[in-house]
Amino acid sequence: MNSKSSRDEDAVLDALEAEAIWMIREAASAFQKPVILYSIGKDSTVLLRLAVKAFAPAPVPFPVLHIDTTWKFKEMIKFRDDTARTNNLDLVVHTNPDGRGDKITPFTHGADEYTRLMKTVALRAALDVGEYDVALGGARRDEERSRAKERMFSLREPGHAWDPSSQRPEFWHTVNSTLKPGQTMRAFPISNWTELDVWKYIRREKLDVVPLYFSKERPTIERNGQLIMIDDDRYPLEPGEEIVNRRIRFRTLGCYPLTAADTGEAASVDEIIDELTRSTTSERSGRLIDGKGASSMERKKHEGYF
Amino acid sequence: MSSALLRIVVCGAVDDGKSTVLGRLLVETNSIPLDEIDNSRLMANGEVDYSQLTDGLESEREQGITIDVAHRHVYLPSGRRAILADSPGHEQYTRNMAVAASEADLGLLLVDAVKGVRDQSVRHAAINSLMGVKHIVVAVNKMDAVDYDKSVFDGIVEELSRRFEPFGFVDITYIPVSGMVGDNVTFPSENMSWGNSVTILSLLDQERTFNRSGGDGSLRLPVQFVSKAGDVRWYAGTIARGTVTVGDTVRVWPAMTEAKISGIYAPNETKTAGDAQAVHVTLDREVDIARGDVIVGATGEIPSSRAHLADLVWIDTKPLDIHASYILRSGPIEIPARVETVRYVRNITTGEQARGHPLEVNDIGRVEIVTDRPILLDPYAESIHTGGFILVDRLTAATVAAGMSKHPLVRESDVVKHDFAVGRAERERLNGLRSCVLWLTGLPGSGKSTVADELEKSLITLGLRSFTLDGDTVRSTLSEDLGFSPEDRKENVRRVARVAELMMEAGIVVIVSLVSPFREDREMAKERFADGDFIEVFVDTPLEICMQRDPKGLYARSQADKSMQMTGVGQGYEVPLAADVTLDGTQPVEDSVQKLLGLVLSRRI
Repeated sequence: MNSKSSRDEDAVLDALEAEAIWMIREAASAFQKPVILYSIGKDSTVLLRLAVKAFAPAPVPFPVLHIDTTWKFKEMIKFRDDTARTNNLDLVVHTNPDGRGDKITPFTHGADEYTRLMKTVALRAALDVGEYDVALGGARRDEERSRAKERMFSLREPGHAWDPSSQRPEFWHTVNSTLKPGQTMRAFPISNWTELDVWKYIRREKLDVVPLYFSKERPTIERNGQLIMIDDDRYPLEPGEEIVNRRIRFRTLGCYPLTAADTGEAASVDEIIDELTRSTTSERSGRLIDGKGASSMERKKHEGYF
Repeated sequence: MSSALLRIVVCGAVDDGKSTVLGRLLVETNSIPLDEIDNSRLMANGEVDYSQLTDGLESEREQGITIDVAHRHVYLPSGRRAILADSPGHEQYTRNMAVAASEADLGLLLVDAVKGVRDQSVRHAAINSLMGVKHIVVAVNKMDAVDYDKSVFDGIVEELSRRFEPFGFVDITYIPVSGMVGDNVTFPSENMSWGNSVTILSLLDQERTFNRSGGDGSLRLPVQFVSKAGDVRWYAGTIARGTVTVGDTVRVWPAMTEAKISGIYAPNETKTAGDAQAVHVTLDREVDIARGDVIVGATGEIPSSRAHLADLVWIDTKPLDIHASYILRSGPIEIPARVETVRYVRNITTGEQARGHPLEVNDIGRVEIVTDRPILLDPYAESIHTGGFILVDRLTAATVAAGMSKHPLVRESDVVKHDFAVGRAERERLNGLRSCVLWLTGLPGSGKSTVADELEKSLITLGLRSFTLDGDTVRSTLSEDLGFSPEDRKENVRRVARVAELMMEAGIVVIVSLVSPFREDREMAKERFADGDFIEVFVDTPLEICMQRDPKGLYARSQADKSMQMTGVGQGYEVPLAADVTLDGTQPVEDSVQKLLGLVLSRRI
């Protein structure tokens, strides 16, 4: 990479950072009771850093909320508590009380119902209890197709329902923060960031992330073609399933029984960025050689993309 | 500013092939995750169906509606980034396009080579212009379907150049492309050897300077909030215009207290910060500052007033209620506001102005907006973040309109001046008539001065006082230092308008007889006045007749001296699109005088 394009990439991060800080400040000042939704992953890590910068030299003036399903990776919980301590954060942890004592698990209720109860329902309850009128999250528009149409400030009707047709048009740096009774707002300051931007920012700001993102030998089983890391003895093994140490890492983090591992070799932030960049460069150069249309697609298929 | 993060609004009529071009651009720049290109996105022959890559929300498909602007990243080869705001929608396109264009640096407009130029293309360009997008790339798509015929492309370029002329774009680039085949999207076309091998991608990645702020460039830092670290108060905001440096003297609107900048975080500690940076600043003395205050430069006029002239894009299905109080928001500023007058609703494609029309969804209106307290609104063309605003319905909490300020309107109540006992109203009573300005515009020789003279004669007979500001007289006195270039003509119009305004304050009927060939200049003159006080009169006489009459021998002289900037010969005359009165210059002058006299007498008190 030449220095000109590296400068441009740095300028992209600066612009994204400025936009996110503007949003965090707006959420903090145009609403009554803001909260950060903290999921411990890389996006949340960046969001926290941006919040600290948005208020520096003053401290972050609102709490950080984690919805604990009780099935998160142990390393995530440790990282959460360390982060809260070193950054002096007002950390609020909420767990759906019905989930305690393993009454609701991904195994007894199925993944969908478990997720609904332990994440969605729990989040709604926590927001209601805290009377938060704006919740900042680390979602990004590039994550999936439907999010490309999400607002930066996304309105939630009473009961936290999202009605796409009642979303407010967004102009300039002017936010319509007027809420009717029961309405709340979600704010996504890193809407315009890509996965690569997130990692580049983590590198630039020298941020710690949960070590699970880095490749390492970990105890795993293979189920339905996916590798699952066995983080504790609550995971019911099926006959014939055997725990094997494999070199794995995670691209996203969630509840360990529901998060498939990646066999990528990256063991540092640099290597993750390299892995993400390299895959695109090789394809781009491949396309430049192969020309356009069917031939390049065909080649991608040969490489096993589909 | 030169931008590493380029914001682009993508527009085009429904079947101009926008999805295909966009899909191809995303795939060929590796900007779309590969797992999105699953089998459902392939055509029977195994090729990617590019048009299927950018489809929207499940609920949109279910409900058969288009809800929103989609945002997509394109990684540019230089390392810069483009965020494409893809604005869909048929009925809602004004709203969606206005949103997508509000922060865009550049517009990418698709036109179908097969169907040719349609009104919608012109409308999209007009909305770009309205929202302040001044750089346009026009991709003439589906060139494969017209056999890559250069003459088809040239015809479209010629027509668009003509129809885009009123929009004042800084630059327009036209390129022939085929989204289906892939010509000139990211790969130079081999099928159009007559082209210059420019691609959409290379145009997006071209180094450009965008200037969405101007004016005197002085600082605008709207304060989002105030925080305290130790004993120090910090003021947080994003710089909307200008730069800030430690040691600078600044003023704080609205109190206009002066202080010096003594510290800056942007977001790390620094000595100076500029456009679009999110900063924290502190001042050298204790100043009472709250959210919604604006830190401004030490010098320069601040456009703070209770009344502003503005363009409104109405986006709510409930029309404007002229009696309702809305909440006006501009960045952190929040003030109750009313729309006092709708001067006209503009047909954005033709420029026609409809008066006495309600402001309804997707309408664009020129309005006078009045706030409960004075508000700082810069002309939008000089600062988008401090010149743009929204209106919020108090009952539904919906955003009902987006506004772009033109300039503040001076109301008597705003001006702190000596409390004169005698004002315009008192002077008007002497004349028994509400004073006004009759602005006669038309070609040289159209008969303006004759009409003005005859009208004054009739007014004097009726005992009504009047005065004519005649072009020739003005040129040899007030504007003796000016020539006939467009800039000088503009200045001449400005001066005449200002003098006419003063004379109107004197309570008399003011008649202006001035060629004033440019629409923009006349519009500028008109905007100085309250609704109804300025009457634009078009003296409509065909050029041939003016040349025959040639009372001053000007046309004859201009035939001999080609360097003369003679309106109608060397310089164009822009016919008024919405004159208040049109006089037929081929008819007897008495008819014209009667028409104007009737108008003046309708203002008796």
